[in-house]
Amino acid sequence: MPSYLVPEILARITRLGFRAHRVVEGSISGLHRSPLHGLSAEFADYRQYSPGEDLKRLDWRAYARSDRHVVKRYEEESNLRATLLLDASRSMKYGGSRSKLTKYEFGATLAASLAALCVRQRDAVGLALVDQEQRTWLRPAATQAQLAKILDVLQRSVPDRKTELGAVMNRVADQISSRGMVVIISDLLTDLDSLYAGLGRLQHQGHEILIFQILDPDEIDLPFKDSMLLRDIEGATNSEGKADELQVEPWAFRKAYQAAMNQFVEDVATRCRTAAIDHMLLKTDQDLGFALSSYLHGRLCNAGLKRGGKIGAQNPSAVPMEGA
Amino acid sequence: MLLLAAPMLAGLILASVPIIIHLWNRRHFRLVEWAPMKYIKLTVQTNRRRMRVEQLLLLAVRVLVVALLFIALARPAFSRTGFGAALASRSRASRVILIDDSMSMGYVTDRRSAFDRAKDAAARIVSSIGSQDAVTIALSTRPDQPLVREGGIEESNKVLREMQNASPAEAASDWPSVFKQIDSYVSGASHLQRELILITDLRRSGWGAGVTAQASKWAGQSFDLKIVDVGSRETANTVLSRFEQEDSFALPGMPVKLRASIRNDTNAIVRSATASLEIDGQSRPLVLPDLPAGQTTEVPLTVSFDKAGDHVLKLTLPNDAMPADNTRWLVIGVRPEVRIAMIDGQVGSRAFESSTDFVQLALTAGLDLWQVNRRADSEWQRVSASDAQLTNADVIVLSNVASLSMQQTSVLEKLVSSGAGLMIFPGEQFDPGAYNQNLYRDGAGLLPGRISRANESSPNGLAIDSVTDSPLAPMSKLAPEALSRIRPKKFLSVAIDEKGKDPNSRALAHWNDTESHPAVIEKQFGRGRVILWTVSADRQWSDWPIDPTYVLALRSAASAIVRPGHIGTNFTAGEAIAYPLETGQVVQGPLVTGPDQSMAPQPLSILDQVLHYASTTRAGKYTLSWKDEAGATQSRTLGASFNGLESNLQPISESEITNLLSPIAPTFVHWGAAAGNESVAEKGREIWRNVILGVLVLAAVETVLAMWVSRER
Repeated sequence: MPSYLVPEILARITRLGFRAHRVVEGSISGLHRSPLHGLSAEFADYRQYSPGEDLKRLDWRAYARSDRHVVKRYEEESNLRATLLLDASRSMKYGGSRSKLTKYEFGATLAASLAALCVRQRDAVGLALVDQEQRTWLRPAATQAQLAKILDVLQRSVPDRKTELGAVMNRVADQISSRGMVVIISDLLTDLDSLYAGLGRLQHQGHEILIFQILDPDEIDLPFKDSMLLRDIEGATNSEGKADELQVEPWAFRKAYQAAMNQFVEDVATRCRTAAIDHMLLKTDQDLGFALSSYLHGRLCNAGLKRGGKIGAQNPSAVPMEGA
Repeated sequence: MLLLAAPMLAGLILASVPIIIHLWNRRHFRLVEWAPMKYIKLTVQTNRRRMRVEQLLLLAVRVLVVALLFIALARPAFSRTGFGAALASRSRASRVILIDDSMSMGYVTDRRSAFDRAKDAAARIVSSIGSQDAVTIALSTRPDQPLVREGGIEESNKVLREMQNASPAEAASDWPSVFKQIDSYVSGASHLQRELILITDLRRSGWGAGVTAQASKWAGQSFDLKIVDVGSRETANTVLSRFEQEDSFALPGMPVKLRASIRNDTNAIVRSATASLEIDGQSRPLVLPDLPAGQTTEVPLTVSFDKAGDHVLKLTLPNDAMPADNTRWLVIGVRPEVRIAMIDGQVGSRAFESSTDFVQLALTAGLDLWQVNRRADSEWQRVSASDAQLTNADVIVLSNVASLSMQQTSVLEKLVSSGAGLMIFPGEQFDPGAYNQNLYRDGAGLLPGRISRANESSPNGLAIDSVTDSPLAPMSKLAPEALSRIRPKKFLSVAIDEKGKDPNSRALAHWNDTESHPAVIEKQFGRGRVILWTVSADRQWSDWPIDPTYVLALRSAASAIVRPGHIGTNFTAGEAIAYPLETGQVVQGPLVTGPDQSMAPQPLSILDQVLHYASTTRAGKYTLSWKDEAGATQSRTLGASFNGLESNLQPISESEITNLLSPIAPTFVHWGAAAGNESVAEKGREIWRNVILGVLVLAAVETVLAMWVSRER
């Protein structure tokens, strides 16, 4: 049984930590900002006073300066509830000659590393293995036992079904009650429109979404030289009911294919960037520890700069308070 | 297109190698389970059609490169005649090359005759056939004398080189008999595969249904027939269709009438042409009348000879596309005298008492060369058939001879049958019953009709019948009044053509009486002619002997029935010489010298007292010579003219020949005027270098195309 928990990777990312950019709802005080105000001493912003509200929360000084009734809000720090959503469909089974790991193994290693990091910083972490449906669901918890469960699930799982991430995403959204972080680990070779719809719903619920798109370098470069018979890895059939196959000479359209794949990745990245979703492309021949530490480092540096957008809908613009 | 190394074409099978590789590659691939199928399909579908076209183009170029390489190795040569395809070598074969050398092959177009092209084609064929083939070469006018029999290429080439200056014969090709002779070569061939290559000009003359039987025989064998057409389809020609002596004999100093017929088979009238008449080697011009297009013009000629003997005449028309039928040869045997033997049944002691006196006077008055030998009937009773005076007579006259014995009848029949003329006059001693019994014999004898009785009615003159070649033809030009004066007191009543048994008898003149009794009757008997006069030769039955018309009648009749010249003096090229010797004539070492002076005299064969010689395909003068009993050299000259059948230049179509030769299907190859003039040495232009150049260019194209097709896209 493979062990997806790699100490070298953990060693590289432990000191960086894994922090949420958005506010998260937690039951205990922690590293992450909480949506609940007033329990912390750190000022957050102003909001319009609503009649009937407790007058003791009215900021009289502000009233004296601006003759406006506003209430002062404070940020609350809480623990993180991260849900790792790992694509365990058959397409993740592919592993090229240049990679030591299949996409699933690579994704599982990533998931294990993130889970371990979360547990180490006492954040709750859960796991959902999905393909065309949700196969495994581990409710987020911040215990060592949870980490062991996650590792166990990852090791036992075999990617052997079709992908339908969009539909699964809605179910996951139903199961996550409080705002937190949803980390999607997938090759995204699925129906993107339904995926984007699912992501939009998660965002609407206030979750911060991270997407790790994992592709094999073969899938990006198409480096083959021989004549090939390509068969759909998920067993799709054509209109005649036969296995969906295609005999090709890769050199004859390699550049066109590479352009199409680059366009695909670029489209996903653009869409995520627009929706303030972190998107990171990982190739399975990459050093995961290095790639993950670079990402976490960058995330740490950019903490607080993120502005929330929403995928699939216009983002509501925040009206800055004059004098805030 | 000709392939000089056709077996190399077997390598063409390797042209399928690129196709096999292509198919093999299509079946050998690496199977990969692939995730981003959507993006593969997206790009493949855009390029698939273009890629397929490019790959097929590349495949075609590769196949073409291999195919052209082996085509180049097969040494292709380009030939406009299509000879290459027709003579494509196969297994070893016995090949009979039959060259048509009939006269029509001398037809010239573009300054080359069909025979010239035939020689070229034959040389070309010999150079094309395999070294292990057996070759027989024969000419159609003498197929029994093959030039090469089952020989090799060297021998064949040598013969063909020797033939280079040869011209076609003046004889005709009779294809049924030629094929029959060729069959002996085909049947006796050493190889199982037999082939007859007939090189001809495809003229209709000589072809007939007779070839079908031979073709049927060949159909069951491993036999191929190829017909090489070397002729043109032009027929314009002027032919000297006839050149003959009209008079039956010639005497020294006597004008001899000749007749020439010229047929103008062109589309234009020939005006003021000048022919050449050569008599005994001396040529003189002869201005011809206008020769209308498509018609035959008769040209009468008169010549005379000073000396007796054989005189050779050669009439030549102006040159045209076929020179061979412009010349005819005519040998005229001028006899020293005309010998007349008269048997007189009533010999008198005084002038004009004998019944033949008037006849002798009429035939010899003023004609020194008409020699009469007269004897009484009683003298003839004692002589035998070997009587030289009688047997050498050109005309025999029986006058008032009472009757003839069977022996005498037999002698006469033999003499007349051999060509002598016989005139019979009745008289008072004439016994019709005896004549009917021995000389008529129900039409089988010499008499032209059954004699019934002497008619004593007096007719009102003589009427000359208008019949062809009538001995009395000059009489028909006389005024009717002159003939009406001929009124016999008595004449023989003769019934001719009794029961239709004797078609050779005819009346030449009738008496002008109520029953129109025959007056002069003629019968063709063997080579000779018999004339029966119904009045006596003297004045016993009529006063005609003292009438001037009597002289004319007798002279014209005697001239017409004079023993003709020697048989076989003039003949057609291709026919065998059959020169009959006289009875008892002894010849030693007979030889013949033909028109081809380069040939040594050839021996003649003697069979049944006839000299034979078969190789007479050339027109011209043939001289027969031998030594007689006394050892003295004797000679006769014969003249051979072209075979007029060959002047019919009407072409025969390939389909007609195919039908005639059914069930075998001949292959036709054209080496005619339309196919162009190719020299013997020209085998066609070899184009393998061009093909190799094409291979190199295609190889370069293949390289560029392969790089272009396999570029990263």
